[in-house]
Amino acid sequence: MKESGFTLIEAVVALAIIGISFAGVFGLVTISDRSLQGAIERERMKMQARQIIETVAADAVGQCSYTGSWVTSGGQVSCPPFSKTDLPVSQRMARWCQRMEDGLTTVKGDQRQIRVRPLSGSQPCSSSQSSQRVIEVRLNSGGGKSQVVMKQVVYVSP
Amino acid sequence: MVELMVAMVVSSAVVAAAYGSYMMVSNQYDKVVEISEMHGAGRTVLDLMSRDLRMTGYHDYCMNSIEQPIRIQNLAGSNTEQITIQFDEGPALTNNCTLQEPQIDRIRISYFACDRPVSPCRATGPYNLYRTKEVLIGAFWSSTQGSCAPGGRQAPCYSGQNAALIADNVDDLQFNYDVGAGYVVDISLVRRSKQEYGNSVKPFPRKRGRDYVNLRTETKNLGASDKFMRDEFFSSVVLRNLVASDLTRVPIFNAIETAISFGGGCGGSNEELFAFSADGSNTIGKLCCGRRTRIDCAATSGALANAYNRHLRVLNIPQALGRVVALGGTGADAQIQVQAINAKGGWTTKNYFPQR
Repeated sequence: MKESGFTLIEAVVALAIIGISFAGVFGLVTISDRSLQGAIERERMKMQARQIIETVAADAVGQCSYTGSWVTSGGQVSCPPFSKTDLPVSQRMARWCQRMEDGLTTVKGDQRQIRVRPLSGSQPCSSSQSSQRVIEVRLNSGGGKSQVVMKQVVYVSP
Repeated sequence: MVELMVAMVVSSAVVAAAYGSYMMVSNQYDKVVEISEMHGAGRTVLDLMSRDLRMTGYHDYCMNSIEQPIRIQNLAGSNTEQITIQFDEGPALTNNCTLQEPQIDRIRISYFACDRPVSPCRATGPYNLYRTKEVLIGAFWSSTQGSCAPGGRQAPCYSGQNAALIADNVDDLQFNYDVGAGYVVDISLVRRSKQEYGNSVKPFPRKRGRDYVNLRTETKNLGASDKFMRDEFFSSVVLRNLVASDLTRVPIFNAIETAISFGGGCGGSNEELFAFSADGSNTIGKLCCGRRTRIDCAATSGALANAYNRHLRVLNIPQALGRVVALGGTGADAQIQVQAINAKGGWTTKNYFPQR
């Protein structure tokens, strides 16, 4: 004879299904947290890139010296040491590198690069030449998961 | 009965889990909202500040030169910094000063982080970020609320208790104006979230021993014992309006006014006047007075150079560009006279009464 109601097996199955759905919700939160972290980093990179471009664009004298790149190896960027007695350009480059190292997730192979070059022609940037220059900033974080590329054209008279 | 109990336990576990996941999702939602608020307001504030700072030292042809276009001071208590800038504002040049001058205003703007509009500030954050604006009328800075220029041309002035609150939840505000690094002001603003979040929060993004803008941020130890979310906002502003002579004149006046206070006096022939750092905590040097109002002992230039380097991060001001020429008086009458070379190659003299 059969009694009405749920068997133990049915109840366990139902619980398992509910459990799985909650696991899904928790997983979702974790994913959202990770993407939030990514968004913060992208925001930081954008701000940093904007600031680099603004400073380089304003420094007409030292402009051509702002070319450099920092590549990570083994999760560490090797930033140049910061020294108050260095030239202003070196001071700023060191600061930018350190800031990005601290504020961004850095994985092996991440590239952070600043380039200043003439708009046309293949010659390197020269401070004695009147030209239109392109300032280009490329920033990577999280093993290339997020990337920011920003460029600005500036007009320079010698 | 047993089945009923089991069913209740099971269902309450399910409800608890549902509640837990709801809380997590809603917490996450709050976090997203806070972060976007933190960043949005942080950037807007930096843009506003940068726009003002770019005007620093703009000097209209028809007006007197600006003595102190930029000044950075440490705020007692909060250990944040206040920046004060001056510039002229008015219509485009007409080459006719009698027509032009009445329409030009000399503006003074300052930004600072404090828990109230007038210091002393609380020792720990969060602070509010305030902006003040004054205009020079005759020999005085107008600080009354209302239209600050004659004829009501300008936006209302506000300072003192009426300082305008432009951002809240600020943990730190520091500036760096380094003569050695060109005409550049670095700004660093740290904002925090309104509430604390769980331990998934990344710490304040700065490693130990880093000194981006100012060592003071480092000593605050932000994020060491709480779980607020924080982010630091940077900007560098280039001050194109400052001419080369201001590079020496500005820091030497700033140094005297903000980094040094005095004790002792120069009343007699062998008395000594001591220089202290602004908060009085340590003695920078001894300024000896050989004769009544004249400094001619070797310690003086060394003491001042030390003061510049340690407290103002201003690099090497040669004696030929700025010098202390006279000291005198005791107590509130203790006076120091400073000269700095000006744009025309002559000396500009200023008197300071540090204890008044």
